[in-house]
Order: sequence, then structure tokens, then C-alpha cells
Amino acid sequence: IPSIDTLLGGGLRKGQLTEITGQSSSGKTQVCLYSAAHVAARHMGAVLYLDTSNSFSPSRIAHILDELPISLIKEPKDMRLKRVMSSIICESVFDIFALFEVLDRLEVSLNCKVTNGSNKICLLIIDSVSSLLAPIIGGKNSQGRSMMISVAMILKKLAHKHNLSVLVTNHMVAGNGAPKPALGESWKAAPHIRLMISRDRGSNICTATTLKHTLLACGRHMKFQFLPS
Amino acid sequence: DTDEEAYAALRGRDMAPNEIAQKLLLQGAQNAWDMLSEEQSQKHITTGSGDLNGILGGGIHCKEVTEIGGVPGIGKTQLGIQLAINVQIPVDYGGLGGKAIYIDTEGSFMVERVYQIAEGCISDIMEYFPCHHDKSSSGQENLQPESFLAGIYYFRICSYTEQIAVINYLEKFLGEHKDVRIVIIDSVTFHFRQDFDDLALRTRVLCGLSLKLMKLSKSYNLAVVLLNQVTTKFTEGSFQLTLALGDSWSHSCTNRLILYWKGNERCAYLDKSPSLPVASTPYAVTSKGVRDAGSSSCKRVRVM
Repeated sequence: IPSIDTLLGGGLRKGQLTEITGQSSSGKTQVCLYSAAHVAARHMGAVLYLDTSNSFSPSRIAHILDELPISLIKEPKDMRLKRVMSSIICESVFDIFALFEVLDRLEVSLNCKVTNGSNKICLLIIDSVSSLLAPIIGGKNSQGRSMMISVAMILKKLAHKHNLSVLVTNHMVAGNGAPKPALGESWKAAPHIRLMISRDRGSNICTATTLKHTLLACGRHMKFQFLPS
Repeated sequence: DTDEEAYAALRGRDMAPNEIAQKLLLQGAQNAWDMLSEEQSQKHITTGSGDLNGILGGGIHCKEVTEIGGVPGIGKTQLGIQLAINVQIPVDYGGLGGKAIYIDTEGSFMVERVYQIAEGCISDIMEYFPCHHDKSSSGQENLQPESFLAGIYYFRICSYTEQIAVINYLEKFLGEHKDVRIVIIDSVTFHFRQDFDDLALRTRVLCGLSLKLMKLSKSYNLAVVLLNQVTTKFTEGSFQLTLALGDSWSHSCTNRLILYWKGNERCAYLDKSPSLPVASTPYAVTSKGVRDAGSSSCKRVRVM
């Protein structure tokens, strides 16, 4: 999505943790699906998509790929579809311990891979990390918060060590008045880049805003629209 | 144990083969290409209304959690009951031939109405498949309202602790009853709105419950339908919708459908979906159940 790429400063950066936050049905999952489709289509590598709400839609990915401009390499459309879709791996994760386990397996897998360009994971997506943390955060027990910080550290370490881009989604909660991103203050420092998106229900136009960025100015807005089905 | 074997192999060598690493990573995961063909062959649960099925992409999806919100009186329970009946439509007649679990928190489940809806469903099947039941192997005796009623496993719960308990129990139950293809909770937030002093705890509990339901729907390949209260304000041509327990809950579903009144007509609005555009359509609740708006059977009108 060109507008989001602009806000990100060219796209999802390798070695960095990017967060997309927004209210329900603002388009976070769509951004994840688009990212997965584009990265896989451009031969950049494999994508690992961790889905917590059974929202990963293969037919939507296929549709997004269909709309991509024809690549420079002459490849029959159906062969390209199969190649690209085969390099997007999706796993359902429903609790925080399962997440730790998957990340562990990912680490092992990345450690012992001989460089095999198109099969190596280069993008990790977690949609959404906040759903997994919501059942344990808050309350007097601080274990939830420490798990959240662990997750952040593991993700950043994976990103840095293996040159992955990591994209996570976060939902919003009711603040004092205006809604604010979930996961609280301790999480704010974790991602390198934070974007917030919202959708205007009437016009279906989405707006993305930079909340935090290591290199670019914050508070920039861009508008965009997803392709209709 | 595959895990231990793999780890032992990795430790014992300098360069682990790609296959072990890849196999380890892919344990439990699937690639999108395989999922695509699976997704395309999935059957959906009809709602009774062709238009409503249309905005839902064919009907209610298995392996997904669908939240249905609406003001009291709009007919959420009617739709819940309709789905509990429709999931049982035999495979020969284009249905899933599955059973239903109905978790009733408010006591809205009226058996007489379920019987009526079952009769309505059967009469429609007979209309669309007039010669079929002579040839069908399942036989005519299965298409009786009583057998549809028998296909609904009903749980009545009266507190949030019972609700948590029943959801925890579901996994065992589903392991023993593999023909269940839909779980309906009517309504999911009712017992959490009063009595809960610690709101943060409530959020944690609800998020935990919704993850459990997500997991069940995926592992047992069934649809989970959560009915929820909502208040709507229709101002300046757009909606202000407030789902009960709002922000703490609204991310915890795959799809969301909102039922609302447009004058005296019932409408449904698809608010959240990973693959379908937002859309709305009118529909009706008749004596036979949920049908398209403009149905000939006598409609149930707005009482307020």
C-alpha cells in the first residue's frame, strides 16, 4: 500500500519491529495480508503469519495478488499464484505460551538454515499480539507485563539477528475519553515504528498516522483505500 | 517424540539439514496454497435468507467466530435458532448435516418456536427438492421436526461462572460429539454486564474465553456464533454503534454482523470480515424463520 510505505519510509524495515494499532475493523488485518502478499510476490523470502483470530484469508491473498501489476519476469499467473502462496506459512496461535513456542521453533529454524533465499523467512507477522496478551495483562500480578516485555525483546532480537521485518497488530482500548492503543505504557517503547489506522465507515477511506518512528517525523497522515473484493 | 528427535539431531551435528529445521517450523502450520483449496471447499451454514448469505459470502463460516450484535427485539435469538436448525440440513440437500450446541444465558430459547422453524425449514427443503426424498438414502423419516430438535445440544447457564465452566467443558464434549458443526452463545456478554466489580478482570476473562472459542472453532472445524447486545444511534446518516462491553471485546471475533432497524424493516450490516467488503441487506423474520425481505410468509413486525 503506497501510502503506508511512504509513512514507513519506504516499507517495512528489516531488523525492526513495526506495530499497527487501530480500532476494530479499521484495517489492521488487511495491512498484514497486503504485506504478506507483496513480500512473497517480490521473491524477498518466505512469510510466517501468526493468526490469533482465524482471520487469515487465503482467498483474500489470492485476490490481492491478482491485482498486482504484472512482474518483469514472465511467469504464468497461476504458477506465480502457487509459488507465492506456498511461501506464505500460516499458523494459528491462541495463547501466549504457544507463541513463545512458535518463536522458539522459528529461532531454531533460522539458526540452522543454509542460505536458501526464497525459503528463508524474512517477514514475521503476528495478528494480533495484543489478543494473546490481553488475558494476562492488568491486575495485581505483574507476570503478564513481564511476558509482554519478553515477547517484545524476543521479537526485536529475532528481527535484528536474522534481519527479519516483524509486523504486529495491536487493538485499542477505552482511555480517559479517547481510545488509546492497548498494552499500555511499557509496550510503547518496544516497537521501533508505530502506526495507527482508522477507517471512516461512511466513505471507507482509511487514515494512517505515525505515532513513533526512529527516523521520520511523527504525526504524519496518509489516506488510502483497500481494494474491494 | 518428533520434537526431541529433531533437537537431538541438531545438537549432534554442526550443520543441521534444512529438512529438519523446516519440518520443525512447519509443525502445526500450513502454507497459504494448501489453505486456499481447503477454504474453497468449505461449506457455509445458510441463514435462511439468500440476501443475508450473500453479504456473508455464502453463509456462516466454519472455523471462524462470528459475532452478531443487535438491539433487543431485533431477532438475534431467531437467527441463532435458525442457524441451529440449518446446520442440520442433510448433506444430500446441500447442508452440513451437523449438530448444534446452543448455550442459552438469558432463557430466550423457546422450544415451540424452534419446532416451528424446523417445520419451516423442512417445508422449504420439500419445495426445492420435490422428487429427491424418494431417492435419498437418508430416508424421509429423518426430515421430521423432532429429529431437528434432537440435534440441538442445549445448555442453560445462569451466571458467568457457569458460562466459563461450560466453555471449558466444550472441548471434552466436542471430542465426544464430533458431528457438532456450530456453537451458539446467546448472549455472550449478558452475565458479564452486572455483578462484575473488577473491570480489568472482566476484560481478561472475556479475552481468554474468546481465544478458547477461536481455538475450538479451528480445531473442530465448526462455526462459533456469539450473539451480543448493541445499542444504535442513527444520526446524520451514519451509525453510532456501541457493542456491549465494547472495546475490551471487539477484537475477539473473525466476523461481525450488526442487525438493525431501518424504519420497520430489519437489516443486517457486515461490520468486520477478513475477506468480504462491508455491506448491508434487508432481511425478514417470518413464521417459518429467517428469510429474505419481501417473503410471502407472514412477517413478524416490529413491536416497539
